[in-house]
Amino acid sequence: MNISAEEIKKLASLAKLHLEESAIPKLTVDLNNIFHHIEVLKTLDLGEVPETNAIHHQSTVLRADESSMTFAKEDMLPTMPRTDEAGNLIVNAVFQDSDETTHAV
Amino acid sequence: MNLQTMTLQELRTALDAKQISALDVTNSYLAQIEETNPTLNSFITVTAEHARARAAHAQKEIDAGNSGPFTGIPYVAKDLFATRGILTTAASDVLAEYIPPYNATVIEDLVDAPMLGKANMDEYAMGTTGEYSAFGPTKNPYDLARVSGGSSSGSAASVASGQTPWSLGTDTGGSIRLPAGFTHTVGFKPTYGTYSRYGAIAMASSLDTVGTFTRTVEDAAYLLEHLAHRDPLDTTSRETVNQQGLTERVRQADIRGMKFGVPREFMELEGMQPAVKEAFMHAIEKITAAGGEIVEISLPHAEYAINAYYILAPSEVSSNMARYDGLQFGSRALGNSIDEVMMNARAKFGAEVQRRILIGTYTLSGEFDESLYHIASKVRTLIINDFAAAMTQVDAIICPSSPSIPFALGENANDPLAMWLLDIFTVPMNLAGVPAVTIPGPLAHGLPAGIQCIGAYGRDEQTLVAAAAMEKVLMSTSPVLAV
Repeated sequence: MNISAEEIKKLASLAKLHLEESAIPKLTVDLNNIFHHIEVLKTLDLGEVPETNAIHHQSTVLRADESSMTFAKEDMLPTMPRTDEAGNLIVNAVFQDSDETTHAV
Repeated sequence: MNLQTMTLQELRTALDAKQISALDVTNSYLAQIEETNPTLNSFITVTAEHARARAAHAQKEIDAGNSGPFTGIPYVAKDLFATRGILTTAASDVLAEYIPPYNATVIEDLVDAPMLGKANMDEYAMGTTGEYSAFGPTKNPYDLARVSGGSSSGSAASVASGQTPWSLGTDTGGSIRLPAGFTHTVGFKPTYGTYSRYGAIAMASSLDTVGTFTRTVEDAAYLLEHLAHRDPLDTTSRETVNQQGLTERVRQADIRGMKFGVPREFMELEGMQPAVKEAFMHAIEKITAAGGEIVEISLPHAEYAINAYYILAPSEVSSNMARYDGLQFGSRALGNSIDEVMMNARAKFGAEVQRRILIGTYTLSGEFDESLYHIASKVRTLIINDFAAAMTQVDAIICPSSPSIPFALGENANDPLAMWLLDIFTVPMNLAGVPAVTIPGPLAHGLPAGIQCIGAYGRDEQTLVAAAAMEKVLMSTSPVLAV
């Protein structure tokens, strides 16, 4: 099958990707080339062949369902987008328009 | 004593005999990085102070007689391994500021080894050349106009150029074995699950395999012997058996009487460059002359491996990448709605990542063509069966690590499908989960050309023994470094 530019836009919206309009023609060509290539598999007679979704080996490693791993506050702060001097996470206000209005939590 | 060419085990001996200090070793590699990295671009982050502090600590341990297998021996990690307090980008703008609060298991296991830095790579390990990095491509240390191969581009180039004795990489469709072939290094992808994936940023979880770049097969064995273990934090990690003495058994490898299978389907491949085929045939002559036996085998479904891989891998990619929503994961973005926030955050993905997410969305969507995922999963079973059947006839399967010599920078930039087809010799092994190692082979047009040695599922030791036997026989001369 051939996928159209419109369908690529639909795919992008499902994948939460914003595509530049200018990128779509080349992407349409590239994706169609790829789809034509992978669709060759549809010509195979696969009958009752079982699917493999993961490489199987020993039994699954299980641990007790207990909360054990904790992180120190100073380790977590660098992963936050914005923090104040006291080490509080700063988030955007939900009920106001301005991005400048922030609250520490 | 030339540190830049010493093996891991030679360094261990020299450190334990106090012929050299851990700090001197680390400083020597850091100096080499400082001199060559501006040209090669093999690092995203150099962690000089961190490495020196670890080296000083390691020396104390060595002096106290507490040295372990890796104490004081520097290494480099691909920039997708989470490193506590150290920038971990996966070569993506999406993670350009990510500082993990924890270590990946393999990093944690190397706590007394100085980590010299985080290696450049294709964004989220998606790529064959190393050119899809948000931090620029890694150059080939033997020819600066060429790529070092990907996705573990920096891990490969850093070992080849003497910036480190060894490095950590990951291999989802050839990302260790192909760059190893392009850089005259030994790249080992063990059986799926041998090294823990915990803390390795995911691309396609059923295929992602942690592995190593070294100068010799023996060093790959040394790492396997001392670093591989089952990890309770990774449910897909496997129990490795009979590791003790593995390095010694690999050292004693003898090619006489070994049987190597050459897949007919690979040798008939149209896209294989004549120089690559010639170099491979030269290797076969040497193996035969030394007493190894070459037999033709068949992997009847190998020709469908690329098709299946480029359905399964993008499917898993689209799932794994879904977490980068700009809120919980990935760099923060602003927007007036949740959709807009996500779109804005995900706009930072590079073109190849976006392409694979779109393909995975297509192959997992009922609205589009979900049947492809199921068909590819069946083909995967056939490929597993092919390898299992072939391995009953031989000690190892051998083939080139790439149908091409190292590409010129930009050579395949505009044709993603052409780029994908270059993975033909490496993706079948990821689909089957089997161990495979690239070793340096005879040169092709004066450039590196790797030979791949593939074993049976779970038989990593036998794979390395066969590779070590070949390595002794090939004794491939290194090309001249351009840095």
